Amino acid sequence: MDKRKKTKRYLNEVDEEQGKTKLKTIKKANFNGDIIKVEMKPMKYKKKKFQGKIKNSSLDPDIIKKYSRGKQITGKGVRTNFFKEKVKRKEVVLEYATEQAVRSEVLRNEIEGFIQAEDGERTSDFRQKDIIENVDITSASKNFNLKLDFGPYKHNYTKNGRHLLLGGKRGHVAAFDWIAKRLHCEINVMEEVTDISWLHIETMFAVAQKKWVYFYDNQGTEMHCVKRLFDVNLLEFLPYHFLLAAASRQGFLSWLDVSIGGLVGHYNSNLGDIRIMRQNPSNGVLCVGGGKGVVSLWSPKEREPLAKLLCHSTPISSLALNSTGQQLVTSGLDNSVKIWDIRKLNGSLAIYKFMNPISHIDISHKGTMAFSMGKTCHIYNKKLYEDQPQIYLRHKSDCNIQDIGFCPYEDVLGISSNTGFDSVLVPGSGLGNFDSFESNPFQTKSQRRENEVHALMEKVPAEFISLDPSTIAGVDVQTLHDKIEAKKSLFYLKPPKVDFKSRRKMKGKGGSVNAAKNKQIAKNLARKEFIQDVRSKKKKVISSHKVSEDFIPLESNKSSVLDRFNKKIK
Amino acid sequence: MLKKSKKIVKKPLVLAPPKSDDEGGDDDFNEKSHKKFLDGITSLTKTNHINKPTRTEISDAVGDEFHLTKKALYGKEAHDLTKGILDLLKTKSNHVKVAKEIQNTKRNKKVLKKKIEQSVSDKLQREVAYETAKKKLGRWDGIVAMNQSSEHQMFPVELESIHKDVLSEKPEKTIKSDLMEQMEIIEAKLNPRKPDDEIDERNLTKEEIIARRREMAYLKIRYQQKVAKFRQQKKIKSKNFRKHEKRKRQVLEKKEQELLEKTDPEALERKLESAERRRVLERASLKHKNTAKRSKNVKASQHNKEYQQELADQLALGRELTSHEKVEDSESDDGNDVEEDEDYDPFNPWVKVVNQMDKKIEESSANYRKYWNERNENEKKLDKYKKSIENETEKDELKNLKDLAFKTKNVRPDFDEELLETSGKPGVSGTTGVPDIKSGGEVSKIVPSNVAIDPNNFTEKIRKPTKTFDLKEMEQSESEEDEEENQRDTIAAAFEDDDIQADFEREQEDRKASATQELDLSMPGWGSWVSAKTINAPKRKRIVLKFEAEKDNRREGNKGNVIVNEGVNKSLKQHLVSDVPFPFKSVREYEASIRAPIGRSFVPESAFKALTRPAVITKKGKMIHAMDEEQLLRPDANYRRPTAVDKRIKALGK
Repeated sequence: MDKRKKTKRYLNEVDEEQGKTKLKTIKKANFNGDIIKVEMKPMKYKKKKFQGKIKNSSLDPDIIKKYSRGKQITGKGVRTNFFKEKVKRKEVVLEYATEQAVRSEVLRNEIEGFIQAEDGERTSDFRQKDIIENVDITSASKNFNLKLDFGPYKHNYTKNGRHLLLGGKRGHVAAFDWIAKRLHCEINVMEEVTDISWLHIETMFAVAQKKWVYFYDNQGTEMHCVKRLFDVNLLEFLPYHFLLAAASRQGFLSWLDVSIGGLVGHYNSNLGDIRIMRQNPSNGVLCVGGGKGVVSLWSPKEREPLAKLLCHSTPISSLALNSTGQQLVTSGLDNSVKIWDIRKLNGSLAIYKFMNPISHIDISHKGTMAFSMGKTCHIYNKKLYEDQPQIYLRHKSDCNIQDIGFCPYEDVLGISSNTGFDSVLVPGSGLGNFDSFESNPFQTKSQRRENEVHALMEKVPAEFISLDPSTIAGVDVQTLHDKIEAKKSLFYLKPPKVDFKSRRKMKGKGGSVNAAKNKQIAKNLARKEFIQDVRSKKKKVISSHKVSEDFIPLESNKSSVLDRFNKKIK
Repeated sequence: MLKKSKKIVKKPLVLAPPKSDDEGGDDDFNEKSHKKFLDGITSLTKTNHINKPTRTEISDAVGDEFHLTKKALYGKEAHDLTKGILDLLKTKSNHVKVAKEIQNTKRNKKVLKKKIEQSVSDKLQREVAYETAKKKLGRWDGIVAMNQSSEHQMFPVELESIHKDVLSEKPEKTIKSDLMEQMEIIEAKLNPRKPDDEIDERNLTKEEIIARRREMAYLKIRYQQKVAKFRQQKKIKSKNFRKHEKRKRQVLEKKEQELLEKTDPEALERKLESAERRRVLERASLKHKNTAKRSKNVKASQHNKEYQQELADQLALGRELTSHEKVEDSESDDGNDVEEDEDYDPFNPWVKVVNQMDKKIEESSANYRKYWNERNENEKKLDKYKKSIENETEKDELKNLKDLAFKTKNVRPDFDEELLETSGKPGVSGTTGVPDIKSGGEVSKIVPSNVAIDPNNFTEKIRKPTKTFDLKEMEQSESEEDEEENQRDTIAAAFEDDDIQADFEREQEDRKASATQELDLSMPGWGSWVSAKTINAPKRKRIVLKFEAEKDNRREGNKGNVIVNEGVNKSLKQHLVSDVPFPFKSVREYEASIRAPIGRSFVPESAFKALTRPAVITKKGKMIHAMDEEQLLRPDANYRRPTAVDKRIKALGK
């Protein structure tokens, strides 16, 4: 028996107390007086005071780091005490905002489900059939297979992951709500389809056809044909900029603003036929993989690539970026896959050697990676580059895989091949917590409309597309410097030399003396004008740099009529 | 003293003969007599001449008829003047008295100070006015400074709450309905309050209050005396006294009646009617059931059975009529009724009621007493039982005394325990499930790298080695090999090209070379000619402008396999701020001030509200008055009442 005394807990104690009543001593039993019941006031517990400051130990420093907004203002570079106070006050509120965000992290305590193998088993041994048997019916219904006849297919999910667009090379285009299995439209454009893409909402999509890019609504009605986007190979939609980026067979890169309908950028990249292109979701830069093993980064307003990264010594076969835009995964024909930090742009973080070259890569919101080679598709769990990776799941398609893509906010990987489309369950790949203001899979019609208006109002201008998106929150130091220099140089300007040539006059009208006089006059005039001009500008500069006075001084420098009565200082 | 001589001088006409002195000649010309003489002549004409104005008050300078002196006489100067007068007066004996008086006044009375000049006094007045105004306005300084520095202000300021007369204002939402209010008004009319009650004690002086209190005390005593008297009278059982009283009352009533008969016969009629009514009601009540004359007769004639029977019937009838019965509407009863009564109309509610009543009344009158008796007995039993139980429990308590002692152990749960607010660390949750099997490939051992990178700090001191993983074995073991895939492998090998690396490097070098330049400005032959005298020709300087290749400022990453096009984003410049706006002095501070977003989609809602709250909050359609002195008492009247969020933010700030 365990003789050790049990640690008493609140509930246990009560049970014991009620169970038995001890006999009292004789002295107490013979007690013979009044009994006064005294009701004790419940003890008031002192509430622990809120500690203030985010140094609060109860908050996880890692999460604080996640939500913090960088260094605070010291207040030294702010001019008056009033504004110092104001700026500090704002800092406190921002600190509060951070803390509040950190606190709300408590609510996100779900752990995403994933397959866990028992000893002696491998998750990669499980087939889709096994998974379907062990999941709920709604999840099971997300696995399906479409056998389609119109050649190699490509697919595209909407940003909220609710709708799917399929495009067969031989003209077949189908748009449908894939979760409810509700078809919006199915058409054959009777032309070669090279790529497809949803626009900002699920009622419109773009199809790159044999020659031009066409826009359709979700009923399949052709709305628009953009002839300036010709011979397009690939389409990519930047949702925050409202730009439809297109890469052509001639190596042209074009950005079409779908909100105003104008081309924002259109130039030849001199890369030749572009076959691999993805966007960086964090800054909107296009990453184009070239035949020379180079990944180049492009923005609509710069004709030169923002950066070039030599990734492989062989042509690049595919590339993908993760949802936060931090990592770039490239694969070359040298059977290797490399992971890069795209913000740092230096050496690769990890290299993987495969048996075969990887033809397509995609990364899910949670960081699950899918590689396809030929008919097979291998899925690796997240944090590939930290440990020796293990294949998480494997899927074999009937025919050669043409396109793979994870569905946002769902544990689903879409695989389109020559003969159709497979929707494959990948437990633990999708992000469970969606921000319904950002992208809502269960969006209603009115919500969609509202969201569209919001998105249009918050549209990011195309000029903002650059490697470091935070530059917009900075000062253009170069221009500032130039401005200051220009002001300084104003004080050391010399009057320009005037080369005056007098008009040739008739004989006897003006002699050389007159001409010389006129020249002098003209020169003087020009000099005077220049000096006056400079003086006025100097005055302006000086006045703009004067400290403004809040009060009207009693003795102003302005001359007045009554000044003559002042005492004259000798 | 000189006297006013503005009045017309009228003197009796006296033609005095010229004095003998005058006879002597022109030399002895008497001015006085001459004047008199002239006056006399003028009076002859009987026309009144107005005399010249003469001084009546002292002036410092004699002959100041024309007000030429500017100085007013005050203070010392005035004293000096009196001195002169005194000297003059002392010379004559009959003026001594006056002189003394003057001296006395001079000793006793104070002399007014000299009046300040107008301009000076104005200046002083202005000064004083300025000081007072400054002091008055200075009271506002604190409030003004507070308002200027405050975060948010609310207008209009509601100061009325201090002296708000709650009673006079009609509240928006009333507890009483309109009907209730109307009723109250009517009630107030019916029993009007004494005006004394309404006098507010606060408005009275002390004496008044004392008087009032005394009066109240007197009234109270009187009231108590009367009450005691009536109580005593009520207890008197003497028949004589009652008779006496009754007679008194009757006399009084009779008198009243007589009076009413003369004045208001209608009122008399009404009064008689009401009296009759009262009498009937009295007789109808069962008060006189046994005391009435008739019932006494019944008692007397106990043996007269007929009479008794009659009386009993009457009483039963009375009981029936006075007892209240509930109407029962059970259907079974209805059915019985229909059977019994053929005339019964089921749709006539009146018939139904009557029928039921007849039956019920009989039952209930019989059962009534029985029921009460039973109930009383039961209650008694219950009381007894309760008492007995109480006694028992008391004994138990004495036995088990410890049960009453305070329990020393705390049985409350500990609410003070801190909430567990940390969420699971990302590293722990996901990866643990995957078993870590190390394959024998070319896994190089690496220090775990920290991937969180500061985007501003691109230069990295320690270049971490890349990890390479060989996945071939794994793949081989898992996937059955295809011939097609093998074929691909060979194709890839064929594509592999060392030129790609070389091409890239060349491109990089090209970019670098374009930067360096040199410009030779030396002129051929210049400075080489020398005269015969010069032995040591100065060495010719070769003028070469060297545009040194700009220091390789490219970031570290821009050198290996990367080409970064620095100095682009010209189009972005038009969106950038190129000035440091006012309160900021340094670029870094300004950038720090705009580093954090404040939009709804970036910060929590409460923080968003706090960040974007307007500095001045006004109410629509309400007038904003200028500040008045009331606000000096409540300087924070126009600030928002702090919410929970505000309090937390404030705590953070400290």
